[in-house]
Amino acid sequence: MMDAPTRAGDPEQWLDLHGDALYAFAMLRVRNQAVAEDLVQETLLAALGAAHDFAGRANARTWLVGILKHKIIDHLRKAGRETREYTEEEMPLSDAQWSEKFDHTGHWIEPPRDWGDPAAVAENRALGAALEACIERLPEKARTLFVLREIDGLGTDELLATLGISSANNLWVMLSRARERLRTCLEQTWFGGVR
Amino acid sequence: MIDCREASELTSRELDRRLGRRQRVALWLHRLLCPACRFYRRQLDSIRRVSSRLGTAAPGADEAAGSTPRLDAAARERLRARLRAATGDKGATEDER
Repeated sequence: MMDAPTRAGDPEQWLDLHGDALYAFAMLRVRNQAVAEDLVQETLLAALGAAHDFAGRANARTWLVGILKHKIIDHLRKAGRETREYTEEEMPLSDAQWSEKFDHTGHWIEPPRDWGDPAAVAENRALGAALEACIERLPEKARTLFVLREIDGLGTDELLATLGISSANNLWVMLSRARERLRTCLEQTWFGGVR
Repeated sequence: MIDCREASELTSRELDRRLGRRQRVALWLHRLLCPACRFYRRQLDSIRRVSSRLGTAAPGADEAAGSTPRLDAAARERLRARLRAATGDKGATEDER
């Protein structure tokens, strides 16, 4: 009866082996310890109820993350049900901060530098950690938006349905500001700092 | 002729949707003359590529950042207790070979 620990579909073993990864995955998207913990719990319980579904799958982690992803989207959907405009503090970059990047003729005040070939840049694992630190510093909603877009690959319609953003145009503006802020953050922390 | 401000906005937008023909031509022309905006596009492309490897919870990707949040001992025990409560009667009756 208690030989369970070695079984592939053991929820306590899932907790031991994948609990941290699931929790980190949730935290990157909801930034709230209690909510993230609840989402991990719901995921493990749902997995338990669907253990027959797991049979034959090689990778428990991938399967569990797939369940968690749905739980997170459901959670965000409920939380973002009321569509409203982002406040200035929730914007990754305010209109004023954005304007300050350009002179009166619309040219860059600090022109972007050459980071090199994107394919080569992407190979750098330490840069991944630097980017993660920059993502951490985004305001919560902007971070969730960026992560769902760039890491989870959600499209415009899914993002609008999930996050309660009023229009596609606002969504694209938010994303462009978030990318600009991350780009600036990386230029400062990774690609050479103050000029 | 669009300026860098508009070009950067469109460069990001290009990552989220297909631009109209007129916008594509304007952006192409601007970049032809503006190295900074050519770098900008490459930077956003780099950020996209690096992002796609983060936060996927894939085994082996966890160590990417030292700051990765972990379940603390109390949270882990809470979860364990709830799982036990949920599996309690099941474990005894289910015959797993």
